[in-house]
Amino acid sequence: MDITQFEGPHAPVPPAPEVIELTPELARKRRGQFRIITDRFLRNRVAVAGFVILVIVTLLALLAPVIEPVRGQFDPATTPNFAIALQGPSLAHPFGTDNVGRDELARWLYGARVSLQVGLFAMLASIFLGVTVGALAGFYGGWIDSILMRIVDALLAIPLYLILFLLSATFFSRGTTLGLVLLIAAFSWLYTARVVRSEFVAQKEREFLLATRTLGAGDLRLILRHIIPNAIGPIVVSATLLVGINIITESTLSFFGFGLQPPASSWGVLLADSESYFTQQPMLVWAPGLGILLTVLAFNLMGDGLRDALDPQMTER
Amino acid sequence: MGRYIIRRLAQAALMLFLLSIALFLLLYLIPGGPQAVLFNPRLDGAARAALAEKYGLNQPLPLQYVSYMQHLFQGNLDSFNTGRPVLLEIGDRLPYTLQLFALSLIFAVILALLLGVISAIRQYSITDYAATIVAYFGIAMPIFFTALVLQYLFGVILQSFFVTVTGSPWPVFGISSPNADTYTPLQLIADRLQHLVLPTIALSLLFVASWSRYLRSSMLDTVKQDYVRTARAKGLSSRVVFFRHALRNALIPFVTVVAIDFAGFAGGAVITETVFGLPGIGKLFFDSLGARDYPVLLTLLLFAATMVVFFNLLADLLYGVLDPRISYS
Repeated sequence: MDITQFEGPHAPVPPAPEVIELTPELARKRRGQFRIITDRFLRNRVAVAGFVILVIVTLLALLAPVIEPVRGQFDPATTPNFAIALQGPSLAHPFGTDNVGRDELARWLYGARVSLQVGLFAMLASIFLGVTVGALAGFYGGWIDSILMRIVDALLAIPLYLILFLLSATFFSRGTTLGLVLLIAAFSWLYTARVVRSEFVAQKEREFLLATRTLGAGDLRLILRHIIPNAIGPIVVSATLLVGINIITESTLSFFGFGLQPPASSWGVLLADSESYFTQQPMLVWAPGLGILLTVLAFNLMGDGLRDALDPQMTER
Repeated sequence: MGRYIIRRLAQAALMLFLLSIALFLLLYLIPGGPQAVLFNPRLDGAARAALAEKYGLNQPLPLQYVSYMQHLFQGNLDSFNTGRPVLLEIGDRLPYTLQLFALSLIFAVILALLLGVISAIRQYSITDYAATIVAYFGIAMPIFFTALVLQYLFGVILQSFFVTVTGSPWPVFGISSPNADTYTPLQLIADRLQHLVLPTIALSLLFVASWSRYLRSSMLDTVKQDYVRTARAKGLSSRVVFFRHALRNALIPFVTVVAIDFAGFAGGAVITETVFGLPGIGKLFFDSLGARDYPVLLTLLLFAATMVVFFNLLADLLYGVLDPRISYS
């Protein structure tokens, strides 16, 4: 018996797809996902501007120990010179000098190091916390989800600055960079956790995960190798925005005297030191203030650019 | 509806109860807690025991918590620092904070609505670009820096442009003029408002910036929806479509964002008050921090958390008004 007679009306057999030989030229043109995202990001001029600002600020911060010996201004914290206190901007001191005669540019450069460090490390810690909590809540659901998310809700109900001022005034009164990083991270992971949780809830019912699980993958493998890579867009975006937020938080704490303690200094410490000299030497306030403003602005512009570049819904124009 | 409200209130009460225990333990257990403040190293054993007895610090922690709560609700919880009831201390400061808070909230919501709507109607216009730039800068400025810049701007650079109704320079610090006791009631109100102008701008800027951006993008999302096209196709004027159909739906996420930012707004108020030297809750908070006045600090935290929870609940109920599709059950 001919087996074909049971197959109903025959659809025309589609012609075999024409095999295109992968020439080196074509391989060059073929764009991986990374290239597509990079191209999309680079076409966004505002986001690129943010990126350039960040590269410049980071380089200045990294090179501070190289720049300063050349300029003849060594460690900004230990070289007070009252003879030249509160000078305006000049060639020798482009940002002027502070109330004890320290070169403001040197302090600005070293302050940039600390501000960026605190922003970045607190971001890493809070992304770790936020992704872990969000992943557990979103993946397992049920009572784990309820408990974790109620904790997030409760922490969000406390005004951030009140609890930060309080804890740094009591427990973290040492004013070390590490203490400050941990303190800021302890209260800045909440939104990341919410974002990651909703990504997990959206992803976990998809077929490819069922398939992977059928193949024997365990929970940890599913979370780390399959869901997180699919949720990397929102995580990267909130990480970028978090650095800016953390820099603002650090500067606010330091400005009110609850952050870093001298001789450690960040842009926030510079602002606290020079606040009362605003009318005498405005540059002392403008330099660290605009440093914070520009850096945070750059992180925000880059974060928005990444959001657009990473969004698969955005069609290429 | 009534059942929904009751359930939400019960949930909120439970959360605040647990939060109060957590905050109590946090404050009373961490190094530098009440014991460290009251037990001056120079005190001898008898004096320590007397102090511990007076403030109930020799009791087990759960009992201390119960007695804290008891005293708080009976209104006779005393401040370590002044010995006055905590509620009186807060009550003295509250009017100043409420004035700043209410003015800033109203100002920020109205301005954010205006800017958001205009930016969405005239997308890519000069107004839209200007609003975008201002918003990006507003979001990137720490509130205390905005406050400093405003003080500098009005107190130094624009000193000759802005004068008060009495002809004196524009106030950049404090809550009233030095000779306010000679003012008539009307002058007093004007004087107070003039002192609150800069703090209001400083506190609002960040929130005007982020809320107007948010409204703009949710407006642009709703304008693309099919029901908006249907409404246009029915022949409704674009004004009616925009305000009755698009804006009303865009307002739902807007309300959420305003409610979520409530805690941030409260924190910002503390910062603004401190920079501008207003004698409100923020000043009480910083004074109590300096004196390690734990009863006041704990009460302030719980008060703030209660307000945040209350406003989030209010926002949830507002959804029902804005969006009839949402039913509470």
